[in-house]
Amino acid sequence: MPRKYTFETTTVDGIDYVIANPVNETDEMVRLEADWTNGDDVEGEWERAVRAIIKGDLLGEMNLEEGNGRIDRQTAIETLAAAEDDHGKVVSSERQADALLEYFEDQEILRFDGNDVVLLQDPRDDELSGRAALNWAAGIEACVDKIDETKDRVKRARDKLEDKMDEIDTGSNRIDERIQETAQELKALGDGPGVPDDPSQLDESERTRYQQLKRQFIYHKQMKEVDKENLLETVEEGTSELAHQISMLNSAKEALVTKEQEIRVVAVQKREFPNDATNIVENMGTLATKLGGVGDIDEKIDQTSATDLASMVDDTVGDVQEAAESAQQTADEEVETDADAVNFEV
Amino acid sequence: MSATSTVLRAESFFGTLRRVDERLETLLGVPTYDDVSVYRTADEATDALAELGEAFVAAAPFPSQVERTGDDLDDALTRVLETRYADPASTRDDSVEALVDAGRLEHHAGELVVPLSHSAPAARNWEPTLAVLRAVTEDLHERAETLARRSRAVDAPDARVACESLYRMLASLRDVLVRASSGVAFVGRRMDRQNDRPLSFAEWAGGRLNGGDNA
Repeated sequence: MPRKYTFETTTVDGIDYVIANPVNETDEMVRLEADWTNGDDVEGEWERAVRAIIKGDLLGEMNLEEGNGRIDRQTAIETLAAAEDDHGKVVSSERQADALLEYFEDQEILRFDGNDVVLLQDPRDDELSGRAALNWAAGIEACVDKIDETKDRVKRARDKLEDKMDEIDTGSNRIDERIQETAQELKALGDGPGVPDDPSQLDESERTRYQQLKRQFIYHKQMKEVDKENLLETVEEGTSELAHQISMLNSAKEALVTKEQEIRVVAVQKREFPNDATNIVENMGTLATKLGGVGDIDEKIDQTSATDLASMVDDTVGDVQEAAESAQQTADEEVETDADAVNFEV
Repeated sequence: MSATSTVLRAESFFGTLRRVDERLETLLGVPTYDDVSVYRTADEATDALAELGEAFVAAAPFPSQVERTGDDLDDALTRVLETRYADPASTRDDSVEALVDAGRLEHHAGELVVPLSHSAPAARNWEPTLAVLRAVTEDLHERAETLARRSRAVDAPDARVACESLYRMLASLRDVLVRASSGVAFVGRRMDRQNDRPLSFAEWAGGRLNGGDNA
């Protein structure tokens, strides 16, 4: 794709700007702040934009085949134009996003390949610029943000599950109905309005019926009790498992932040990835997918009736478990495997 | 061995359900419902279920199914359980020895039993046991529904009431087991979903960087 802009720097009121002059004269000029390309050896201003694109598309549009972490240029433009972070909107318009990406290419922060933007370049590439290497650090930061979001969701899910424990009694409607039906049939025996006080006063066939119904009544009540106890056990187990997973996510996150700093230093100073950081590159994609798999669990718990709660808990714990383990793997932390001991303790 | 003798066994649940199974088979084969034997047979089946209710209350809560990962032995145990439901004396399975070594099967007074406990390794037996109990109960429930429907069509109030009661009791048992064994189904579904998901990033990153180390 031919260049759309040529770049020149200018200073207005003491502030440095980069002017993107359109090659096609019918297009409009774009003014960018020059400090987008400011950076020292370990961090660059541009990472804010790179992070926004990676974060926005980590789970979806990012195409990672053929050796590089790439994304369709138009998609990158739209993602960047829509992105907001702690400091507000990252860029003001799609036009600005477009010009900024081309300026980054000019500055060797990223590469263009056909209609694609290559944000994450192969760390083994001899031509990998120090600036491009820092994009990997930005990618890890995007992952860390996702871990944080997931952790918050899991916390909310755990709190909501704890609240649900109080309303669990409504969980087995059909068994409740059978208890009621059996009680009605018991009341229908004898002359009085209620359950007969003294079954020995009933005639023989009613007495036999009374014994049968009583047995059934007790049985359905027992089934209800067993159902409730099982559900409470599952939810209780689920909340404690989620608490464990929150701490797993947290320690993985801290380890990733440390490794990210390592990458910044080693990647830029020695132009290589630290050996133990390849682990991050290998697993980051899986982690992003697993984090995405956790989804809106806290909201789903709100919408789940007590009847489906056991399945819901099971599903949630499974998804979070996968994410937490993937996070630890990515951070190269020992995955705790004492789950059995936790579960099976009486 | 006193500790072992207090452990619950899958066989005790199976024995009760088999009694229900046999009564149902008899009832589905009777030529007429207008017979006192129909009522008595159904009553024996509900009596067996009442016993199961007591056993369930004693065992509850069943160990939670949360975050339990299945292993090869689970499949083997499921096979053993299915065979043993059909034939209690059956001990023929290639994996019996491995299951005994893993503490999943026990020899007890000359018999092979499937212990159910709340601590490992026999706690792992709950999941396959609940899954088999659920499958058996769903089958019984379906047959009891047929029975109840047939009994409604004839003028035999006692038999009808007994058959309806049996049907409803099996329905409650099924409800409990469906929930208790939901973990089994969910683990399976989770695996399916994962397979549908493209993991291109991981594949790519793994492929690019394996053994690379930027030499």
